[in-house]
Amino acid sequence: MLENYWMISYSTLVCLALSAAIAILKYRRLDIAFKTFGLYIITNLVIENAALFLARQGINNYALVHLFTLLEFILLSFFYFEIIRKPAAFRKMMYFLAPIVALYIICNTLFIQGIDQINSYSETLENLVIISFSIFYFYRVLLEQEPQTIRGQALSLINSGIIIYLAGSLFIFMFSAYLLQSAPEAHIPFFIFNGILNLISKILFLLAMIKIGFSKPKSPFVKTE
Amino acid sequence: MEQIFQDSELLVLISFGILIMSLLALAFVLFFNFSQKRILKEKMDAQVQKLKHQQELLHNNILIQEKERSRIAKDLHDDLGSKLNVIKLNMYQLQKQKNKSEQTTQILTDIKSLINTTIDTTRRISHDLLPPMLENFGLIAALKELCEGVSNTDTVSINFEVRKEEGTIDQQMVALNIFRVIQEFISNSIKHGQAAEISLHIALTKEILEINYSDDGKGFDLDLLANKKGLGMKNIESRINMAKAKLTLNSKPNQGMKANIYLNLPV
Repeated sequence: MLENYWMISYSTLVCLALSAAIAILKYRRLDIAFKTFGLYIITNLVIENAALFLARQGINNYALVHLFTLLEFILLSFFYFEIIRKPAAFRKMMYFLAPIVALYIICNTLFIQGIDQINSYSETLENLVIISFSIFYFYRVLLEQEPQTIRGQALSLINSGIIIYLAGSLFIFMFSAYLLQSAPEAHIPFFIFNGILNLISKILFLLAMIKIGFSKPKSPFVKTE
Repeated sequence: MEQIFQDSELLVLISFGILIMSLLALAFVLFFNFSQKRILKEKMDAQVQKLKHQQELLHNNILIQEKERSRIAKDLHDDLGSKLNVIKLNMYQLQKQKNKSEQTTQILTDIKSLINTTIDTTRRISHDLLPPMLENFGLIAALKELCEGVSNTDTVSINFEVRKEEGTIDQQMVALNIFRVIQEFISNSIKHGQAAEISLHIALTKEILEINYSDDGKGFDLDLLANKKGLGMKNIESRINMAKAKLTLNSKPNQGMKANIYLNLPV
Protein backbone atom coordinates (compact mmCIF):
# COMPACT_ATOMS: atom_id res chain seq x y z
CA MET A 1 0.00 0.00 0.00
CA LEU A 2 2.88 2.32 0.86
CA GLU A 3 4.33 1.76 -2.62
CA ASN A 4 1.15 3.26 -4.06
CA TYR A 5 1.52 6.26 -1.78
CA TRP A 6 5.07 6.91 -2.98
CA MET A 7 4.00 6.53 -6.59
CA ILE A 8 1.22 9.08 -6.10
CA SER A 9 3.62 11.43 -4.30
CA TYR A 10 6.19 11.26 -7.09
CA SER A 11 3.50 11.83 -9.75
CA THR A 12 2.39 14.88 -7.75
CA LEU A 13 5.96 16.12 -7.71
CA VAL A 14 6.23 15.74 -11.49
CA CYS A 15 3.06 17.80 -11.97
CA LEU A 16 4.35 20.42 -9.54
CA ALA A 17 7.74 20.55 -11.26
CA LEU A 18 6.13 21.05 -14.67
CA SER A 19 3.83 23.79 -13.31
CA ALA A 20 6.80 25.47 -11.60
CA ALA A 21 8.82 25.31 -14.83
CA ILE A 22 5.98 27.01 -16.74
CA ALA A 23 5.66 29.64 -13.98
CA ILE A 24 9.40 30.41 -14.19
CA LEU A 25 9.64 30.32 -18.00
CA LYS A 26 6.51 32.40 -18.56
CA TYR A 27 7.00 34.63 -15.51
CA ARG A 28 7.03 37.85 -17.53
CA ARG A 29 3.65 37.30 -19.14
CA LEU A 30 1.90 36.34 -15.88
CA ASP A 31 -0.10 38.91 -13.93
CA ILE A 32 0.30 39.39 -10.18
CA ALA A 33 -2.30 36.73 -9.30
CA PHE A 34 -0.57 34.08 -11.42
CA LYS A 35 2.87 35.19 -10.27
CA THR A 36 1.69 34.66 -6.69
CA PHE A 37 0.25 31.29 -7.64
CA GLY A 38 3.52 30.40 -9.40
CA LEU A 39 5.38 31.26 -6.20
CA TYR A 40 2.97 29.03 -4.27
CA ILE A 41 3.69 26.16 -6.67
CA ILE A 42 7.46 26.64 -6.36
CA THR A 43 7.18 26.77 -2.55
CA ASN A 44 5.00 23.65 -2.62
CA LEU A 45 7.53 21.86 -4.85
CA VAL A 46 10.53 22.75 -2.68
CA ILE A 47 8.83 21.88 0.61
CA GLU A 48 7.19 18.70 -0.70
CA ASN A 49 10.59 17.53 -2.04
CA ALA A 50 12.29 18.27 1.22
CA ALA A 51 9.47 16.60 3.20
CA LEU A 52 9.64 13.50 1.01
CA PHE A 53 13.41 13.36 1.40
CA LEU A 54 13.15 13.63 5.19
CA ALA A 55 10.38 11.03 5.29
CA ARG A 56 12.52 8.63 3.22
CA GLN A 57 15.36 9.20 5.70
CA GLY A 58 12.99 8.51 8.58
CA ILE A 59 13.39 12.08 9.93
CA ASN A 60 10.42 13.97 11.37
CA ASN A 61 9.27 16.53 8.78
CA TYR A 62 6.51 18.25 10.78
CA ALA A 63 8.51 21.49 10.94
CA LEU A 64 8.23 21.69 7.16
CA VAL A 65 4.48 20.99 7.34
CA HIS A 66 4.10 23.87 9.84
CA LEU A 67 6.13 26.19 7.63
CA PHE A 68 4.20 25.18 4.52
CA THR A 69 0.82 25.75 6.22
CA LEU A 70 1.83 29.34 6.98
CA LEU A 71 3.31 30.03 3.53
CA GLU A 72 0.40 28.33 1.77
CA PHE A 73 -2.10 30.43 3.68
CA ILE A 74 -0.26 33.70 2.99
CA LEU A 75 0.24 33.01 -0.73
CA LEU A 76 -3.26 31.65 -1.39
CA SER A 77 -4.84 34.53 0.58
CA PHE A 78 -2.91 37.02 -1.55
CA PHE A 79 -3.91 35.07 -4.67
CA TYR A 80 -7.62 35.35 -3.74
CA PHE A 81 -7.10 38.97 -2.70
CA GLU A 82 -5.89 39.60 -6.26
CA ILE A 83 -8.60 37.66 -8.13
CA ILE A 84 -11.63 38.72 -6.07
CA ARG A 85 -11.88 42.43 -6.80
CA LYS A 86 -15.49 42.90 -5.78
CA PRO A 87 -17.05 43.60 -3.36
CA ALA A 88 -14.68 46.05 -1.70
CA ALA A 89 -15.82 44.68 1.69
CA PHE A 90 -14.13 41.35 0.88
CA ARG A 91 -10.79 43.05 0.38
CA LYS A 92 -11.26 45.10 3.55
CA MET A 93 -12.12 41.94 5.46
CA MET A 94 -8.95 40.28 4.12
CA TYR A 95 -6.82 42.99 5.76
CA PHE A 96 -8.04 41.77 9.15
CA LEU A 97 -8.71 38.08 8.57
CA ALA A 98 -5.41 37.11 6.90
CA PRO A 99 -3.10 38.48 9.65
CA ILE A 100 -5.29 36.97 12.41
CA VAL A 101 -5.25 33.49 10.82
CA ALA A 102 -1.52 33.76 10.05
CA LEU A 103 -0.90 34.76 13.68
CA TYR A 104 -2.96 31.81 14.89
CA ILE A 105 -0.92 29.42 12.66
CA ILE A 106 2.30 30.78 14.21
CA CYS A 107 0.90 30.59 17.75
CA ASN A 108 -0.28 27.02 17.13
CA THR A 109 3.23 26.05 16.06
CA LEU A 110 4.92 27.81 18.96
CA PHE A 111 2.50 27.37 21.84
CA ILE A 112 -0.45 25.08 21.16
CA GLN A 113 0.37 21.90 19.22
CA GLY A 114 4.11 22.47 19.00
CA ILE A 115 6.52 21.95 16.13
CA ASP A 116 7.00 18.23 16.85
CA GLN A 117 3.32 17.40 16.29
CA ILE A 118 1.15 17.58 13.22
CA ASN A 119 -0.58 20.98 13.12
CA SER A 120 -4.14 19.68 12.69
CA TYR A 121 -5.76 22.80 14.25
CA SER A 122 -4.11 25.35 12.02
CA GLU A 123 -4.45 23.06 8.95
CA THR A 124 -8.20 22.77 9.61
CA LEU A 125 -8.62 26.51 10.12
CA GLU A 126 -6.55 27.31 7.03
CA ASN A 127 -8.56 24.81 4.95
CA LEU A 128 -11.86 26.29 6.09
CA VAL A 129 -10.75 29.85 5.30
CA ILE A 130 -9.35 28.96 1.86
CA ILE A 131 -12.45 26.84 1.03
CA SER A 132 -14.59 29.91 1.89
CA PHE A 133 -12.48 32.07 -0.46
CA SER A 134 -12.81 29.46 -3.19
CA ILE A 135 -16.59 29.19 -2.83
CA PHE A 136 -16.83 32.99 -2.78
CA TYR A 137 -14.77 33.22 -5.97
CA PHE A 138 -17.08 30.75 -7.76
CA TYR A 139 -20.10 32.68 -6.48
CA ARG A 140 -18.67 35.97 -7.83
CA VAL A 141 -17.93 34.44 -11.24
CA LEU A 142 -21.49 33.10 -11.54
CA LEU A 143 -22.90 36.41 -10.33
CA GLU A 144 -20.95 38.46 -12.88
CA GLN A 145 -22.05 36.15 -15.75
CA GLU A 146 -19.09 37.12 -17.90
CA PRO A 147 -18.00 34.76 -20.70
CA GLN A 148 -14.84 32.92 -19.64
CA THR A 149 -11.52 34.22 -20.94
CA ILE A 150 -8.36 32.08 -20.99
CA ARG A 151 -7.43 33.69 -17.66
CA GLY A 152 -10.89 32.94 -16.27
CA GLN A 153 -10.65 29.31 -17.39
CA ALA A 154 -7.23 28.93 -15.79
CA LEU A 155 -8.51 30.50 -12.56
CA SER A 156 -11.51 28.13 -12.56
CA LEU A 157 -9.17 25.14 -12.94
CA ILE A 158 -7.00 26.36 -10.05
CA ASN A 159 -10.05 27.04 -7.92
CA SER A 160 -11.50 23.59 -8.71
CA GLY A 161 -8.17 21.99 -7.71
CA ILE A 162 -8.07 23.96 -4.47
CA ILE A 163 -11.65 23.20 -3.44
CA ILE A 164 -11.47 19.49 -4.35
CA TYR A 165 -8.21 19.00 -2.45
CA LEU A 166 -9.00 21.10 0.61
CA ALA A 167 -12.63 20.01 1.05
CA GLY A 168 -11.79 16.33 0.50
CA SER A 169 -8.86 16.51 2.89
CA LEU A 170 -10.58 18.62 5.55
CA PHE A 171 -11.53 15.65 7.74
CA ILE A 172 -8.13 14.03 7.22
CA PHE A 173 -6.36 17.18 8.47
CA MET A 174 -8.91 17.63 11.24
CA PHE A 175 -8.26 14.15 12.63
CA SER A 176 -4.64 13.78 11.51
CA ALA A 177 -3.26 14.21 15.04
CA TYR A 178 -5.70 11.58 16.36
CA LEU A 179 -5.06 9.20 13.45
CA LEU A 180 -1.28 9.37 13.84
CA GLN A 181 -1.39 8.88 17.60
CA SER A 182 -4.32 6.54 18.25
CA ALA A 183 -4.69 4.58 15.01
CA PRO A 184 -1.34 4.71 13.21
CA GLU A 185 -2.10 1.60 11.13
CA ALA A 186 -5.39 3.12 9.98
CA HIS A 187 -3.99 6.44 8.79
CA ILE A 188 -2.32 5.02 5.66
CA PRO A 189 -5.50 4.64 3.51
CA PHE A 190 -6.53 8.15 4.53
CA PHE A 191 -3.18 9.59 3.52
CA ILE A 192 -3.29 7.68 0.24
CA PHE A 193 -6.70 9.23 -0.39
CA ASN A 194 -5.22 12.62 0.53
CA GLY A 195 -2.39 11.91 -1.92
CA ILE A 196 -4.88 11.12 -4.70
CA LEU A 197 -6.76 14.38 -4.07
CA ASN A 198 -3.43 16.22 -4.00
CA LEU A 199 -2.48 14.66 -7.34
CA ILE A 200 -5.87 15.64 -8.87
CA SER A 201 -5.42 19.23 -7.67
CA LYS A 202 -1.87 19.39 -9.03
CA ILE A 203 -3.02 18.05 -12.41
CA LEU A 204 -5.65 20.82 -12.48
CA PHE A 205 -2.98 23.38 -11.51
CA LEU A 206 -0.75 22.11 -14.32
CA LEU A 207 -3.60 22.40 -16.83
CA ALA A 208 -4.23 25.95 -15.63
CA MET A 209 -0.56 26.88 -16.00
CA ILE A 210 -0.44 25.36 -19.50
CA LYS A 211 -3.56 27.33 -20.42
CA ILE A 212 -2.22 30.64 -19.15
CA GLY A 213 1.40 30.04 -20.16
CA PHE A 214 0.83 28.86 -23.70
CA SER A 215 -2.32 30.71 -24.75
CA LYS A 216 -1.74 31.77 -28.35
CA PRO A 217 -2.33 35.30 -29.61
CA LYS A 218 -5.12 35.78 -32.13
CA SER A 219 -4.68 34.30 -35.60
CA PRO A 220 -3.29 36.81 -38.12
CA PHE A 221 -5.93 35.74 -40.62
CA VAL A 222 -9.46 36.95 -40.82
CA LYS A 223 -11.61 34.52 -42.70
CA THR A 224 -15.11 35.28 -43.74
CA GLU A 225 -17.38 32.63 -45.17
CA MET B 1 -12.28 -4.10 23.30
CA GLU B 2 -14.59 -1.11 23.89
CA GLN B 3 -11.72 1.24 22.88
CA ILE B 4 -11.16 -0.68 19.62
CA PHE B 5 -14.90 -0.52 18.87
CA GLN B 6 -14.97 3.23 19.56
CA ASP B 7 -11.88 3.73 17.38
CA SER B 8 -13.37 1.82 14.46
CA GLU B 9 -16.64 3.75 14.84
CA LEU B 10 -14.70 7.01 14.69
CA LEU B 11 -12.76 5.81 11.66
CA VAL B 12 -16.04 5.04 9.88
CA LEU B 13 -17.32 8.50 10.79
CA ILE B 14 -14.11 10.14 9.51
CA SER B 15 -14.39 8.11 6.29
CA PHE B 16 -17.99 9.25 5.85
CA GLY B 17 -16.97 12.84 6.51
CA ILE B 18 -14.19 12.64 3.94
CA LEU B 19 -16.48 11.00 1.40
CA ILE B 20 -19.28 13.55 1.90
CA MET B 21 -16.90 16.51 1.71
CA SER B 22 -15.24 15.11 -1.43
CA LEU B 23 -18.60 14.53 -3.08
CA LEU B 24 -19.80 18.00 -2.08
CA ALA B 25 -16.65 19.59 -3.51
CA LEU B 26 -16.98 17.60 -6.71
CA ALA B 27 -20.69 18.45 -7.03
CA PHE B 28 -19.88 22.10 -6.44
CA VAL B 29 -17.20 22.15 -9.13
CA LEU B 30 -19.48 20.30 -11.58
CA PHE B 31 -22.36 22.65 -10.81
CA PHE B 32 -20.08 25.64 -11.41
CA ASN B 33 -18.86 24.25 -14.72
CA PHE B 34 -22.39 23.39 -15.82
CA SER B 35 -23.65 26.87 -14.89
CA GLN B 36 -20.69 28.50 -16.64
CA LYS B 37 -21.34 26.53 -19.81
CA ARG B 38 -25.04 27.38 -19.69
CA ILE B 39 -24.29 31.09 -19.23
CA LEU B 40 -21.75 30.95 -22.04
CA LYS B 41 -24.21 29.19 -24.32
CA GLU B 42 -26.95 31.73 -23.56
CA LYS B 43 -24.55 34.61 -24.21
CA MET B 44 -23.31 33.00 -27.42
CA ASP B 45 -26.88 32.39 -28.62
CA ALA B 46 -27.78 36.01 -27.89
CA GLN B 47 -24.63 37.18 -29.67
CA VAL B 48 -25.36 34.97 -32.69
CA GLN B 49 -28.94 36.29 -32.84
CA LYS B 50 -27.68 39.87 -32.61
CA LEU B 51 -25.11 39.29 -35.34
CA LYS B 52 -27.68 37.55 -37.53
CA HIS B 53 -30.06 40.45 -37.09
CA GLN B 54 -27.32 42.99 -37.87
CA GLN B 55 -26.32 41.01 -40.94
CA GLU B 56 -29.93 40.84 -42.14
CA LEU B 57 -30.22 44.59 -41.69
CA LEU B 58 -27.00 45.14 -43.60
CA HIS B 59 -28.11 42.77 -46.39
CA ASN B 60 -31.41 44.60 -46.70
CA ASN B 61 -29.60 47.94 -46.71
CA ILE B 62 -27.32 46.74 -49.49
CA LEU B 63 -30.26 45.41 -51.51
CA ILE B 64 -32.20 48.65 -51.10
CA GLN B 65 -29.06 50.65 -51.92
CA GLU B 66 -28.50 48.65 -55.11
CA LYS B 67 -32.14 48.97 -56.15
CA GLU B 68 -32.05 52.71 -55.57
CA ARG B 69 -28.73 53.04 -57.43
CA SER B 70 -30.15 51.09 -60.33
CA ARG B 71 -33.29 53.25 -60.41
CA ILE B 72 -31.30 56.50 -60.25
CA ALA B 73 -28.86 55.26 -62.93
CA LYS B 74 -31.72 54.33 -65.24
CA ASP B 75 -33.51 57.64 -64.62
CA LEU B 76 -30.29 59.55 -65.27
CA HIS B 77 -29.56 57.61 -68.42
CA ASP B 78 -33.07 57.25 -69.89
CA ASP B 79 -34.74 60.41 -68.72
CA LEU B 80 -32.20 63.13 -68.00
CA GLY B 81 -29.69 61.81 -70.55
CA SER B 82 -32.19 61.65 -73.39
CA LYS B 83 -33.58 65.10 -72.55
CA LEU B 84 -30.08 66.56 -72.59
CA ASN B 85 -29.55 64.97 -76.00
CA VAL B 86 -32.75 66.60 -77.27
CA ILE B 87 -31.52 69.97 -75.92
CA LYS B 88 -28.19 69.37 -77.68
CA LEU B 89 -29.98 68.66 -81.00
CA ASN B 90 -32.05 71.81 -80.62
CA MET B 91 -28.85 73.71 -79.99
CA TYR B 92 -27.50 72.49 -83.31
CA GLN B 93 -30.66 73.75 -84.97
CA LEU B 94 -30.19 77.13 -83.34
CA GLN B 95 -26.54 77.29 -84.32
CA LYS B 96 -27.43 76.55 -87.95
CA GLN B 97 -29.74 79.60 -88.13
CA LYS B 98 -28.36 82.62 -89.87
CA ASN B 99 -28.55 86.34 -88.92
CA LYS B 100 -27.18 85.81 -85.42
CA SER B 101 -25.16 88.43 -83.66
CA GLU B 102 -21.61 87.54 -82.59
CA GLN B 103 -22.64 87.66 -78.97
CA THR B 104 -25.48 85.16 -79.56
CA THR B 105 -23.08 82.81 -81.39
CA GLN B 106 -20.68 82.95 -78.42
CA ILE B 107 -23.49 82.25 -75.93
CA LEU B 108 -24.71 79.32 -78.02
CA THR B 109 -21.18 77.87 -78.16
CA ASP B 110 -20.87 78.17 -74.38
CA ILE B 111 -24.25 76.51 -73.83
CA LYS B 112 -23.33 73.70 -76.22
CA SER B 113 -20.08 73.08 -74.36
CA LEU B 114 -21.92 73.10 -71.04
CA ILE B 115 -24.51 70.64 -72.35
CA ASN B 116 -21.74 68.31 -73.54
CA THR B 117 -20.08 68.44 -70.13
CA THR B 118 -23.43 67.78 -68.42
CA ILE B 119 -24.12 64.81 -70.71
CA ASP B 120 -20.67 63.38 -69.90
CA THR B 121 -21.17 63.94 -66.18
CA THR B 122 -24.62 62.33 -66.28
CA ARG B 123 -23.22 59.33 -68.13
CA ARG B 124 -20.33 59.02 -65.69
CA ILE B 125 -22.60 59.21 -62.63
CA SER B 126 -25.00 56.73 -64.21
CA HIS B 127 -22.12 54.33 -64.98
CA ASP B 128 -20.71 54.67 -61.49
CA LEU B 129 -24.06 53.86 -59.99
CA LEU B 130 -24.61 50.80 -62.13
CA PRO B 131 -21.93 49.87 -64.64
CA PRO B 132 -23.73 48.99 -67.89
CA MET B 133 -20.74 46.83 -68.75
CA LEU B 134 -21.64 44.54 -65.84
CA GLU B 135 -25.21 44.16 -67.01
CA ASN B 136 -24.33 43.73 -70.68
CA PHE B 137 -20.97 41.94 -70.76
CA GLY B 138 -20.50 40.42 -67.30
CA LEU B 139 -18.18 40.73 -64.32
CA ILE B 140 -14.80 40.38 -66.04
CA ALA B 141 -15.54 43.07 -68.63
CA ALA B 142 -16.85 45.39 -65.91
CA LEU B 143 -13.76 44.82 -63.75
CA LYS B 144 -11.52 45.45 -66.76
CA GLU B 145 -13.32 48.71 -67.45
CA LEU B 146 -13.05 49.67 -63.77
CA CYS B 147 -9.29 48.95 -63.70
CA GLU B 148 -8.70 50.88 -66.92
CA GLY B 149 -10.69 53.80 -65.55
CA VAL B 150 -8.65 53.89 -62.34
CA SER B 151 -5.32 53.38 -64.16
CA ASN B 152 -6.14 56.31 -66.47
CA THR B 153 -6.32 58.66 -63.48
CA ASP B 154 -2.57 58.04 -62.89
CA THR B 155 -3.07 57.62 -59.14
CA VAL B 156 -2.24 53.93 -59.24
CA SER B 157 -1.19 51.34 -61.77
CA ILE B 158 -3.33 48.22 -61.99
CA ASN B 159 -2.05 44.95 -63.38
CA PHE B 160 -5.25 43.26 -64.56
CA GLU B 161 -4.96 39.68 -65.73
CA VAL B 162 -7.60 37.13 -66.69
CA ARG B 163 -6.03 33.70 -66.31
CA LYS B 164 -9.07 31.71 -67.39
CA GLU B 165 -12.45 32.69 -68.73
CA GLU B 166 -14.39 29.55 -69.42
CA GLY B 167 -17.68 30.30 -67.68
CA THR B 168 -20.15 33.02 -66.82
CA ILE B 169 -21.83 34.24 -63.66
CA ASP B 170 -25.53 33.98 -64.28
CA GLN B 171 -26.74 35.62 -61.09
CA GLN B 172 -26.59 39.39 -61.61
CA MET B 173 -26.61 40.12 -57.86
CA VAL B 174 -23.62 37.84 -57.23
CA ALA B 175 -21.62 39.54 -59.97
CA LEU B 176 -22.62 42.97 -58.68
CA ASN B 177 -21.57 42.09 -55.11
CA ILE B 178 -18.16 40.81 -56.22
CA PHE B 179 -17.75 43.90 -58.40
CA ARG B 180 -18.55 46.18 -55.44
CA VAL B 181 -16.08 44.30 -53.21
CA ILE B 182 -13.27 44.83 -55.73
CA GLN B 183 -14.34 48.46 -56.12
CA GLU B 184 -14.07 48.86 -52.32
CA PHE B 185 -10.66 47.14 -52.27
CA ILE B 186 -9.32 49.49 -54.95
CA SER B 187 -10.75 52.51 -53.16
CA ASN B 188 -9.17 51.35 -49.85
CA SER B 189 -5.81 50.64 -51.51
CA ILE B 190 -5.72 54.19 -52.88
CA LYS B 191 -7.29 56.04 -49.95
CA HIS B 192 -5.89 54.20 -46.90
CA GLY B 193 -3.08 52.06 -48.30
CA GLN B 194 -1.62 54.75 -50.55
CA ALA B 195 -0.64 51.94 -52.91
CA ALA B 196 1.29 52.58 -56.12
CA GLU B 197 0.60 49.21 -57.69
CA ILE B 198 -2.37 46.89 -57.57
CA SER B 199 -2.68 43.50 -59.17
CA LEU B 200 -5.95 41.77 -59.92
CA HIS B 201 -5.86 38.21 -61.25
CA ILE B 202 -9.06 36.42 -62.17
CA ALA B 203 -9.85 32.84 -63.05
CA LEU B 204 -13.39 31.96 -64.04
CA THR B 205 -14.33 28.40 -64.94
CA LYS B 206 -17.73 26.75 -65.19
CA GLU B 207 -17.44 25.65 -61.54
CA ILE B 208 -15.54 28.40 -59.73
CA LEU B 209 -14.55 32.03 -59.69
CA GLU B 210 -11.25 32.89 -58.01
CA ILE B 211 -9.92 36.40 -57.66
CA ASN B 212 -6.50 37.26 -56.24
CA TYR B 213 -6.11 40.88 -55.29
CA SER B 214 -2.95 42.46 -53.91
CA ASP B 215 -1.46 45.90 -53.42
CA ASP B 216 1.90 47.31 -52.30
CA GLY B 217 0.34 49.80 -49.89
CA LYS B 218 0.78 50.44 -46.18
CA GLY B 219 -1.03 47.29 -45.15
CA PHE B 220 -2.70 46.94 -41.76
CA ASP B 221 -2.82 44.86 -38.61
CA LEU B 222 -5.40 42.10 -39.05
CA ASP B 223 -5.88 41.76 -35.28
CA LEU B 224 -6.90 45.40 -35.10
CA LEU B 225 -9.23 44.91 -38.05
CA ALA B 226 -10.83 41.87 -36.40
CA ASN B 227 -11.55 43.94 -33.29
CA LYS B 228 -12.66 47.13 -34.98
CA LYS B 229 -14.31 46.76 -38.36
CA GLY B 230 -15.32 49.88 -40.20
CA LEU B 231 -18.43 50.25 -42.33
CA GLY B 232 -16.45 49.48 -45.50
CA MET B 233 -15.20 46.17 -44.09
CA LYS B 234 -18.67 45.28 -42.82
CA ASN B 235 -20.07 45.98 -46.26
CA ILE B 236 -17.41 43.79 -47.86
CA GLU B 237 -18.25 40.97 -45.44
CA SER B 238 -21.95 41.30 -46.10
CA ARG B 239 -21.51 41.30 -49.85
CA ILE B 240 -19.23 38.26 -49.64
CA ASN B 241 -21.87 36.51 -47.51
CA MET B 242 -24.62 37.51 -49.92
CA ALA B 243 -22.60 36.10 -52.82
CA LYS B 244 -21.92 32.94 -50.73
CA ALA B 245 -18.22 33.38 -51.43
CA LYS B 246 -15.14 32.92 -49.22
CA LEU B 247 -12.76 35.76 -48.51
CA THR B 248 -9.27 35.39 -47.07
CA LEU B 249 -7.40 38.52 -46.13
CA ASN B 250 -3.70 38.68 -45.39
CA SER B 251 -1.87 41.83 -44.42
CA LYS B 252 0.82 43.18 -42.15
CA PRO B 253 1.80 46.79 -41.51
CA ASN B 254 4.07 48.09 -44.31
CA GLN B 255 3.75 44.84 -46.25
CA GLY B 256 0.75 45.56 -48.45
CA MET B 257 -2.46 43.58 -48.53
CA LYS B 258 -3.54 40.36 -50.22
CA ALA B 259 -7.06 39.09 -50.66
CA ASN B 260 -8.44 35.92 -52.15
CA ILE B 261 -12.07 35.59 -53.16
CA TYR B 262 -13.31 32.11 -53.94
CA LEU B 263 -16.77 31.33 -55.18
CA ASN B 264 -18.35 28.03 -56.16
CA LEU B 265 -20.67 28.60 -59.10
CA PRO B 266 -23.92 26.68 -59.40
CA VAL B 267 -23.51 24.05 -62.12
